Amino acid sequence: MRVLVTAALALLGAGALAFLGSRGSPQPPAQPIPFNHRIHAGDNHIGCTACHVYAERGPVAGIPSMGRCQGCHKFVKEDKENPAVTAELKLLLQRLEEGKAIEWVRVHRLPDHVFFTHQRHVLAGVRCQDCHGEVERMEAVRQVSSLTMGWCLDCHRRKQAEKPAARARLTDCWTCHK
Amino acid sequence: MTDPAQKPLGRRAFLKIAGAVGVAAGCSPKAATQKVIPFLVPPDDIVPGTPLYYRTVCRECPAGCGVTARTREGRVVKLEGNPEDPIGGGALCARGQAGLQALYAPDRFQGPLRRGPEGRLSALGWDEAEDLLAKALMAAREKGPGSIRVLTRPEPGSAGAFQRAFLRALGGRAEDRVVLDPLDAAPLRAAGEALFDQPEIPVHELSRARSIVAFGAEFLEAWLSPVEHARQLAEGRGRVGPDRTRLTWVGPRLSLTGYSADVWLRARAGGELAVALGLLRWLVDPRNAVQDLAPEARALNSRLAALDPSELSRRAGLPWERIERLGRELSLRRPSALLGPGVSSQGPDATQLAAVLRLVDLALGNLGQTVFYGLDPMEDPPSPFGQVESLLADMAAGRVEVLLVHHADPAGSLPAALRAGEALGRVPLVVSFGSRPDETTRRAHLVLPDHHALESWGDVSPRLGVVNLCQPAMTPLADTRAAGQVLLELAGKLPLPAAHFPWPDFYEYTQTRAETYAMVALGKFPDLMAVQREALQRGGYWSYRLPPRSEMPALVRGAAEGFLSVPPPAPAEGGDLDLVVFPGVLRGGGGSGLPWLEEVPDAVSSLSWIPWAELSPATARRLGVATGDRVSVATSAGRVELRAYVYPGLRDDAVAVPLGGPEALAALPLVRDAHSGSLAFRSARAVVARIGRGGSLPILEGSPYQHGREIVPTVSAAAPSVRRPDLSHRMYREPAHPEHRWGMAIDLDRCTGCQACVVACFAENNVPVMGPEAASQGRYMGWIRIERFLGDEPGGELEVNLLPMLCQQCTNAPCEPVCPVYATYHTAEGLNAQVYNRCVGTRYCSNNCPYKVRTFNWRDAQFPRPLNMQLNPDVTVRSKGVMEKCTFCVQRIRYAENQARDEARPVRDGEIVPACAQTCPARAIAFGDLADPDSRVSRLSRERRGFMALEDLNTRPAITYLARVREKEEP
Repeated sequence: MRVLVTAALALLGAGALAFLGSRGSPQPPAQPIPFNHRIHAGDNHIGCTACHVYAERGPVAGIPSMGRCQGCHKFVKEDKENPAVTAELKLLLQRLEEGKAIEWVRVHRLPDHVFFTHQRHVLAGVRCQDCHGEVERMEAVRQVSSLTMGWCLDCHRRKQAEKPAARARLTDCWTCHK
Repeated sequence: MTDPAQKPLGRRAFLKIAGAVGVAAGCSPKAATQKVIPFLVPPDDIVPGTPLYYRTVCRECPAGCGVTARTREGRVVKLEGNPEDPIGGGALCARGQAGLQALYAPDRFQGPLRRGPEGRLSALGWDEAEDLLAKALMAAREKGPGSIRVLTRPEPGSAGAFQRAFLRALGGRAEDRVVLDPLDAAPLRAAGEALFDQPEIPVHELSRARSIVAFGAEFLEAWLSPVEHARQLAEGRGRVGPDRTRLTWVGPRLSLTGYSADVWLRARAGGELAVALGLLRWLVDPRNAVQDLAPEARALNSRLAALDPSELSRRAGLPWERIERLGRELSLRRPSALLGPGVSSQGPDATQLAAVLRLVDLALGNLGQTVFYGLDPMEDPPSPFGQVESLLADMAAGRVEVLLVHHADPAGSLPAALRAGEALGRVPLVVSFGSRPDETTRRAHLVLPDHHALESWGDVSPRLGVVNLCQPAMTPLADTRAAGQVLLELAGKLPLPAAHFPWPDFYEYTQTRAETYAMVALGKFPDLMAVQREALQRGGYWSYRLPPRSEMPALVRGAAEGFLSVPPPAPAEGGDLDLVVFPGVLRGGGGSGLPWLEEVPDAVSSLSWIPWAELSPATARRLGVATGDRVSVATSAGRVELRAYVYPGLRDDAVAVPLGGPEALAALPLVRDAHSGSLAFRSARAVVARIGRGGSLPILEGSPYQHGREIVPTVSAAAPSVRRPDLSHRMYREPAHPEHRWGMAIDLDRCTGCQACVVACFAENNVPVMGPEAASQGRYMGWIRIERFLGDEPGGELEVNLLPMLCQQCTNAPCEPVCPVYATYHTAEGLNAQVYNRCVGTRYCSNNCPYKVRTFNWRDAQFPRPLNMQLNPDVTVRSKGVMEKCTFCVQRIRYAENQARDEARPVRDGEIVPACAQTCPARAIAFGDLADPDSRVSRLSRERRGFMALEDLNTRPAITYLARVREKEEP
C-alpha cells in the first residue's frame, strides 16, 4: 500500500513539475552581458526588427550582429552614474575588436522536428509579444509561453476558425513537421 | 561463479528500479544550455535559415559538369546541375551528387602530414612541409632531367596550366608530367589521328540520331560524358513514332546502358570488332545498294569484300543475318551514331574498333551530324599509356627522386600487374596532394592535402567553347591548401629566378586566366570586372556550338586500309570463360569509399557494398554455383575471390566483374591495345570455380521476374497505349483535394536507371546509410529505388524493364487507415504525410503498403562528423523506431508555396522540383499539380502510354508511369 502511495505521490510531483515547466521558465537565464530589453525596446522605443533583422525575411529572427550593437554604442558617452554599464559596453567593443562574438544563452528553443518560421508569422500580422511576451518591459528576457504543440495549436485553431477554408492548412501536421 | 550472497536482480526488482529511474528522469526535464552566437558583421547575402547558391564545377569525373551548390549558413548541403552549362544541362549523375560526401568525408586529411621513420604519418606545419619539399626539389634537380616527376589527373584548366609552368621553371621536360586517367578512351584519340589526322575524342550529339549502336560503350554510365548522353538519348526517346531513337547494344554482357536498348546483339567478348567490320562490309557492298554512301567508304569495298562473312560471324558469335539486319537498319535510319569502344570492349584491337566505327560514321554521313571533331579542347588530355608505363618503370628503376601526385591513384586504379605500388616504394620522396587516404597516399612520404573542389578557385574546360568556373562555395573545413597555391609558394622558396612567378597567390593566377576568357568571350576590352563577375555568377563562359558539316575532317588517303583486316584470334588459353570487366554508374572506375555510392544498390545486380562476379544461369549450373556462393576467378594475372551473382544478361562463355575495387584490377593481365598502346581491359580468359557457400548477401532484389503480374507493361511504337483496369465503380468516398493535388509522371522510355535520383534523394532528405550488415538484412533505407525486372519468368525471354519506385502518394492509401496513432494521414494536397514525432513504430503501414516504399529505422542513423554538416536543415533527421518514406520533397513544395505567397501569386507550373526530378539527366520525371488540367504533369499523365503501378488495387496513386516503347524489330 505504502509503495502505491509513494508512487502516486511521485507521479503527482512529476506531473506538477511538468505542468510548471509548460508555463515557460520563470527565471531568465544568466547572460554573459546583462543586456536590457526594457531600455532598448521599452524606454528608447527601438522596434524589434531593428535588431532582429531577419524576422520578416527568414525562419529565424536573428540575434543582432556585434557590428549592429557597435553601430550605436560607438557613440554612447561614458555613463558616470552607472560605471558597470560602461564596463560592459567596453567589453562588447573589445570583443568585437578581437574578432570574437558574445555567446548568448538561448532562451527560446523548439525541438529539431519543428520547422517554425518567423517570416510567415510576422507577415501574417502576429505580434512579437504574442509569443515572446512583453519583452519591452523585461530587464532580462525569459520564456513566457510554453512553446508546446498544444500552445501553438491553440492559436492556429483560433485563427483557422476565422476562415476555415482558406486556413485549412493551419492544423495540418506537415505545416510544422517535415 | 557469482557470489551467493549477491542476489541476482529479479525481474520485479529490475522493473521497480527502472520505474523509479524513469520517474526521476521525467522530473528533471532540464535541457542542455544552448548558445546563440551572433555574426560579428553580418554578410549581406546570408539570411540565416534560407539557402544561398553558388555556381561551380563537379570534379568527380573528367566530364566537368557545371553545378549549383546550395549552401545553408555557410556550408554546402546539396549539389545540383547548373542549367546554363551546356554539358550537364542542369542534371548531375549519382557520382556528382555524392561529391558532397568527399567534401565532408570523415577520413579527409586535416592538414599536411609527413611519414616518420616508423612508417606512420604525423602532422607538421605547412611552412615546414613546403621548406622540406623545396629542399628536396633542389637536391633532386641536381640529379638531372627526369628526377622530378608529376603524376596528375587531367586538369583542363588553371591547375594543370600552373603545374606545367611550375615544372618548366624547375627545368623539367614536358614529358616529366604524366596525366593519368585510368579509363582514358585513348583508342578513340588514336583512331581520330590515324583516319583524320585529328588526335581527338569526338563529341556526340545523340538527340539527332535515329539509331544508336553501342559497341560495349557504357555511354549512359561512365563513357566520356554520361549525363550529356542520357539527356540526348532521352530527347530522341521523347519522339514516339518512326523517329524515336533506336538503341542497339553489342557485347557479351547486357550492361545498365544496354537496359535502354531495343535490341541486344549478344556478341562474344572481343566480337564487337567483327560486328563492326561486318557492318561496314555490308554497307559498302554494292549489292546492298545503300543510298548516299560516302565515296571514300565505297572505295573500301575491294578490301572489305575479302572478309569472309562466315568468319566474321563466327568471331562475333552472332549469325550473319543479325549483322545484315543491323546494316539494313542503319542504311535506312539516318543519321545514326556508333559508339565504342567502352571499357568492356577495350581490347587489344580497341583502336581498330574505334576506327572501323568512324568509317561506318563516314560511310553513312554521320560526321557533322551526330559525331563531331574539332570540339576537344586539347587542354590537358591524358598521357599515352606508354608514358604512364615508362614513368612506373623509371620509378621502379630508381630514376625518380621526387614524385608529385595530384589526385591520381596509380596504386589503386591501375591493374595490379603494373606493380605501381612497388614502383612507388622505390621513389625516395612521394608527395601526394590527395585529400583522402588511398593506395597511393598509403605509400606517400609527404601528404599536402588539397582543398575539395567546393572549397577552391579554378576553371575547367571540358570542351572547346566551354569554360566552367570553379569557386569556393564554403570556407575550407580543414587546414588544407589548394595544390596550385602550394606549388606557387614552393616556387617562391626555390632559389631559381624562373620560378619567381608574378602572382601573389593561386587565386590571382586563376583570375589572370579568367581575364583571358573574358576577353575571348567579348572580343574586346570592356569592363572586365563586370564580365568576370557575371561569368562567376552564372558559372562559366560558354560559346559552345556544334561545328557545321563542312568543318569535319576528311579521311587521310590510305589511312583506312590498315584497319580493315580481321586480327588473328587471341590464343584461347588461360581459361574457358572470357573475363568482362565493366565500370559501374556508382563506382565509376575506382572505389569511391563514399557511403551513398556504396549503399545504393547497383542497378543491374541490386548488390551494394561488395564487388561480385556475374555468371550466366547455364554457366552457373554447369559450375554448380548459385547467387551468393563464393567463387574464385583466376586469370593469368591472378586469382580473386568474389561472391557470385547469376545474371541472365551475360553470355554463357563469359564471367563479368565490376571495376571499382582491387578485385577486378588484380585479375587484369597487362595487355595493351596494339595501336594506341593503351590498357586493354578486355583480353583475359578466366577459370571460375566454386569455393563454397557465402553468408547473407547485401542484395535488394527479391525476385527479378514479374511472374505474370504485368507490373510494368510496355507498348509498341505503332500502338502506344496501355490497357488499364476499369476503376469507375467506387465503394468509398475519396478524399477531396480542393487546392492542389501534387503528382508525378515518370517516363520509362527516358529512364536509364542511372541512380542519380536515388543519390539525390539521400542528399536532400537526410536518408541514412545503414551499412553492409543492414543491407544483408534487407534494411535499405532509400526512399526511391530502381526496380529492375528481367522478364516474366526465370528462364524465359530476357526483357528488361526499369521502374523507379517511390511512395505513390495514393489517393486511397492502404497505409493510412492502419496507423493506430494517426502518424500517417492524407493531406489536403493529396500527400500521404508521415509525422515522425507521432510515429510509434508499429510498422503496420509498411505491412499494408503494396509498393514497399516505407522504410523503418531499426537503429539510430549514424552521420559521423563532419558528414553531419551535410544534413539538410529543412528535413528532420529521423531516429530509431520511426517509419519514413518519400514526401515528394515537401520542404521544396512548402518553400515554393511560401515564395509564391510572398509575391502574391499562385505557384507556377514547374516551380516545384523534387530532388529526384531535378537531377534526372534524362528529364524522365515531371512534377506538378494534377488539379490543374493544363500543368505539364497533367498533360503527361493523360498520355495513352500512362499506367499506374498495381493499378487494379485501386490505390489511385499520384504517380503515372509512361510505358516504355519496345521495338524489338526495326519498323
